[in-house]
Parts: sequence; structure tokens; C-alpha cells
Amino acid sequence: MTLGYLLTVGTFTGIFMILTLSLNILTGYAKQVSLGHAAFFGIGAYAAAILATKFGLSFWAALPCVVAVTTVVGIFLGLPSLRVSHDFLVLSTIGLNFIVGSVFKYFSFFGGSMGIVDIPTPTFFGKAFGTVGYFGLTFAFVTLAVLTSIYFSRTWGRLAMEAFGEDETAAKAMGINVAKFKIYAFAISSAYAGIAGALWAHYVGSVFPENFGFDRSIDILAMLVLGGLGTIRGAVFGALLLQVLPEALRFIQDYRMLVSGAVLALMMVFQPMGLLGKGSFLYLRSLGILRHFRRGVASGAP
Amino acid sequence: MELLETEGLTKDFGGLRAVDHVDLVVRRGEIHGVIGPNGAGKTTLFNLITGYLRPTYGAIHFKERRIDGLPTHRIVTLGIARTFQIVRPFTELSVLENVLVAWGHRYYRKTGPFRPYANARRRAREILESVGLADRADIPAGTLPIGLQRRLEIARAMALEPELMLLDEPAAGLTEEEIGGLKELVGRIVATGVTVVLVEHRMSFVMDICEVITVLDHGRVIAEGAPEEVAHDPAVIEAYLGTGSVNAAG
Ligand SMILES: Nc1ncnc2c1ncn2[C@@H]1O[C@H](COP(=O)(O)OP(=O)(O)OP(=O)(O)O)[C@@H](O)[C@H]1O
Ligand SMILES: [Mg+2]
Repeated sequence: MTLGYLLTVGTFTGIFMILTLSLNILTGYAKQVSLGHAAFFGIGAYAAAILATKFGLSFWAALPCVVAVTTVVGIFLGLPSLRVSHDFLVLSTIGLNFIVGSVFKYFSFFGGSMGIVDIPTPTFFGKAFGTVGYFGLTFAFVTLAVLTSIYFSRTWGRLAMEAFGEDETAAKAMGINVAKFKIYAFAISSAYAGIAGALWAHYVGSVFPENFGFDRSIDILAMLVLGGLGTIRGAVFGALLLQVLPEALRFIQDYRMLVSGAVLALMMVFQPMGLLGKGSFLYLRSLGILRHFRRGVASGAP
Repeated sequence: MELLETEGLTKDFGGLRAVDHVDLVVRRGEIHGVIGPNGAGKTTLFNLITGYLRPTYGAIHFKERRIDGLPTHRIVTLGIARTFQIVRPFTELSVLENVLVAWGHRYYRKTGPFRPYANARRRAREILESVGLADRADIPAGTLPIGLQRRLEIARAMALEPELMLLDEPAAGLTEEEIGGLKELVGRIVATGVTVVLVEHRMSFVMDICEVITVLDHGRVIAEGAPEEVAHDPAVIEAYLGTGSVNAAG
């Protein structure tokens, strides 16, 4: 195991952390279950790829455009949520994978099944990022995503989303414009996904329709559910676990889809709050241990 | 014009006329009871006023402004709060967060959603104290017993700081002792200048605290007036005896 290999795993893990934080806004807070999150990720990646290869924009110059494009398309793709109930939204988000995948595949502007290749490595003051540099770049964005997520979790917007996520009828009686906040949830979530997509495109150097399919959507949702829906620590931890574990246990890698699927199903049945979510076994345990520890300190015990 | 006026308010569900040409007038500062047998249309009336349902015919004016057709969240920000007959707490949020969600109504526009709510915690706690829920502030609202969930409904309505509060059977399922507390709470709310419309089945409760009572039967207003008048109105006694549910004079 070389350092380069570890940094590569780390970079991908970081990208998935941004994606789980993104999904946490939409599914963790607003309870809009998305089985199509890879589509948002893919839109970000393709936007970055096209801006870099066809328009010659640098990573930095393109990034605001990538975020803008992903947000706008994300809002558009979120519109069905205003009309359909939760169950049907799940179905329509599954459809997103295939719609977006088909657009990438059958329109030559998007490179067709040959994808888009030769996406340049970003530079910083004229110097191209190496493996170490890109790892650093990715984790700078992960840090940004975590900090903005923490900020958002303390705002009125998060409260409103959790409220209508649980009960739209009651939320309206609290003065919440449910439609508007659903759109906010899709917009914010898409913006994060756009950044993750840009990081992916410039790191891998190419994008193909298969990179952003249904199986990837399941991966992202499984990570968030494993860590704990509706919590930032859960989003980060879930991405870490499901991204690093298969690397460590080589034999699992061929069964990636099986692992994600099984994690999703088992967690839903046995620990729907996730490993670190509110009210989860591990979280309550750790609170208990912490309290014990604090009491020990407070009472001046040795 | 009075605080709330409905004119010829009518709601059909298919062939069923749930609310039938109701002219309800609620004056500032009063406690206005709305009673009637099961299925009389009381909850439907609330749903119309708060924008959950569109009237089939008729108009609703609040503070001289026509509000029928407006979405619920707009009506709430104009100053009408309601509670639900079947309580609807946000079960996974804490009791305090439930009140915060309501307090947030003034922040759900413009850049408000992107501002932190920490500063409002103190105010939310005060509201919980005033309804006697302060010691449960941090537990999930879904774990409260029903009596306290009804208090939380009212706490959220208070946090909306409305001019008009619509309470849909706040005493249902409460013990006599809890009803005493509820009376006192409604009294305090009215004392702060809030107008209250109260739907209730517990006749003693309504007779006790309401100044005006409107009686609905099959969607129609069959009587209106002071509690003693209404209680002795033959049409009212007939309506209740007809369904055998409540003794109106009780
Ligand atoms: N959404 C709806 N669709 C169809 N019918 C409805 C709907 N809501 C209410 N109704 C019908 O309208 C009539 C009035 O119902 P409503 O709930 O307003 O009565 P209520 O006076 O509140 O009764 P209760 O004392 O039992 O709460 C009933 O016959 C009810 O079945
Ligand atoms: Mg009712």
C-alpha cells in the first residue's frame, strides 16, 4: 500500500462525504427520499467536464458555473416533489438516474457512450495539483461542506425542513411554505453535489454515463443511512465506512452493489436511525459514556 | 367589519354539503364557541378559514381582507393560528423545537431561513413554561402523553403570536383536572388580547368560558347567542337529542 494509493482512496472518500452531506439536506432533513442522487452528482461532473474541455475554463473559473448549472437543473428535477407523495417521489427519483444517464449517453454534445476524456488537472497559481495536492483540495471542500452543513443545521431553514419532512399539514399551520422549502432543499443539495461532481471529473480526468447510474445512487443513500440520516457526523462517518471498508477488504469489492443494498435493507429494519443518528444505539451509548466521564470529572474522582 | 367574517360559506364534498351558507362573525377579544353534533361541519369550517380547503361558495374576511383562496402559510402569517383535533406534533423533534418551528413563522421569508435560530430558544422556553411543559422541553414530542400533546398544540399556536386562535376540541381526552388547567390557560391567552374560536364537545367547558356560541348542525347555523340562550333553544335541544350524543343544557 503506497501513500499514493491511500491518498487516492482518501480523495474519493472525501468526494463521497460531500455527496452524503448533500443528500443529508434533501433526505435527512426534508425527508425527500432520493434514489437518484448520482444524477445530480453526474450533472456536476458533466458540467465541469464540458466547461473544461469545450470552453477551456479552468477548474476555478468553471466551479461557480458548475454549481449554478447543477442547482438550476436540480431545482427543475425537484419539481415533481411538489406534486407527488413520498412513495411516488422515490419512484420518480429512480427514474432520474435513467433519464439523466440516457441524456449523457445519446446526445453527442455529452460525448455519448465514449464519455468525455482529457479533463485537465486543476492548477493553483500555475502549478498542477499532484496526488497530495488534490487530496488537500478535496478535503478543503469537505471542510467547507461540513462547516456550511453545521451552520445550516442551526438555521430556521433546517427546522422548517425537518418539520414539513415529518408532517406537511402541520408544517403549513406553522407558516411554512412547503413548496418553497422543498425547492430550497433540492437547490442546496444539488449545489453540494455539483462541487462533488467537479472534484470527481477533474480528478479522474474523464466522465462516462455509467459513473453516475442507479447503483451509485444506492451507494450514496446506503452511506447516509448507515451513518445516520439527519446528522452531519452520520453523513461523514457513513461515507468513510462504506468507502474505506471495501478497499480494506478486497474480496468485498466485486460485491459492492450487494454490500450497499444489504446495508440499506438491514439498517432500515434494525437501526433506521443509523449507527450515529439521533436515538441510535451507538450514539446513546456514547452519550452515556460521555456523561459518565463528565460526572467523574465534575465530582473530582481520581 | 369585525375581526373575522364569513359570508355564505359553503363546502361540498361530492354530494355532501359539509358547511352550508355559514355567516360567522367573530368580534375582537371574544371567546366564541362553535358546537354541534359529530359531523356538523365544525372542523371543515376551521379548514376553510385556515386555507386547507377551498370554499365551494362564499367569502372569508379577516381584518377586512379577503383570505379565502390564500395558501395556509400566508393566512398564518396574517395572524390566524389553529390547533388540530387529532394532535399533530412533530414527533421526532423535541418539544422545544416544536415551539421553535412555530416561532420561526416570521423567518420563513426572504433570507430568514438562512439565519440561526439560537436566539429564539429563550422565548420558546418561556412559552413552554407558561403552558407547563418546561421540564419536558428536550424530549421528543412524540413521547408526550396525549394531555401534554394537546398543551403543545396550544404552545405552538401561542408561538405564532396570532390575533385569532382556532382551537379544535382542545379538551378532548383530558381529565377534569386537566380541563381546569386548560380553562385557565385559555383565559390567559385571551387576556393577552387574542381572540379565540373554540370548537368543543364538552358542554360544561364551552358554557363556562364562551361569550357567544354558534351551533352548527348538518353544516348549517341553527342557533347563535349567549350560552344560556343557546342552551334553551328548542332547535339546539332537538339537534342534540336527535343524535343522542350530548345534553345541550348540561
Ligand atoms: N376531506 C373530506 N372529504 C369528504 N368528506 C369530508 C371531508 N372532511 C369532512 N368530511 C365530511 O364532512 C362532514 C363534516 O365533517 P367535520 O369533520 O367538519 O365535522 P365535525 O363537526 O368536526 O365533527 P366532529 O365533532 O366529529 O369532529 C362529515 O360528514 C364528514 O364526513
Ligand atoms: Mg371535528
